[in-house]
Amino acid sequence: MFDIRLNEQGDVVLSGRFDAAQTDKAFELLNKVTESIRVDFKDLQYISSAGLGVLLATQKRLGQSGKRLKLVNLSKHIRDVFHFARFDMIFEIE
Amino acid sequence: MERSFKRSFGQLQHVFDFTNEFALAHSINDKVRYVLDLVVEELFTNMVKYNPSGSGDIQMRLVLEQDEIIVHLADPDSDPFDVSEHRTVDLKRSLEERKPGGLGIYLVQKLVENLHYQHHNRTSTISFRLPLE
Repeated sequence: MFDIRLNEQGDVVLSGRFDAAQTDKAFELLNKVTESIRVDFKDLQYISSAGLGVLLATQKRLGQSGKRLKLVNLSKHIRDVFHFARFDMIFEIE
Repeated sequence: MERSFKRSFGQLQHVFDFTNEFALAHSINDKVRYVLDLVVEELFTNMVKYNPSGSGDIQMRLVLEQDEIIVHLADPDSDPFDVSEHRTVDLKRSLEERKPGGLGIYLVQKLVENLHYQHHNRTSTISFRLPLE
């Protein structure tokens, strides 16, 4: 099950599986983000191209005002997907 | 193992339940399981997205043969669309120029070396082999 929420520190926290059926839920929260923000992947087990597309669209929107996403705590498997898609060249990943 | 799924993104959880059942039955490791789920999702959603009004369900078959998983996905009512054809996605583009379209099929082609497509009597069948590492 996928979940996306803001934690007490103001970070976006992703958990579960971010597949093509979850994009509306993700956009619902991410479209409200207007400042640079950390996105915590610690509890995210899976992401597909649909999830990458949501993050890309959000990054592009924020980039228009000089803001950005900072992705943290990516698992090895998810890091590999970012690498294959060359998204590691686009996002700041810690 | 074989199962059919309605043409809906909402079916994805059932698709993953199916791959999970297969993975558990055959002790598939996490890395292979991630690739299996990712490639199956990209191919399934591609079928749903570009042929939402086709009749009949999408059929999926998973077979373990020696040290490989053999995966078949079939759409019984579709025009030809060969996902194994080379399609260029320019991943070197800057953020401003990047678009998500085509990324899923690019990832499939990157992760699976032996993608095979067949179209016969309006049935599109995609198959691939995934080595157990």
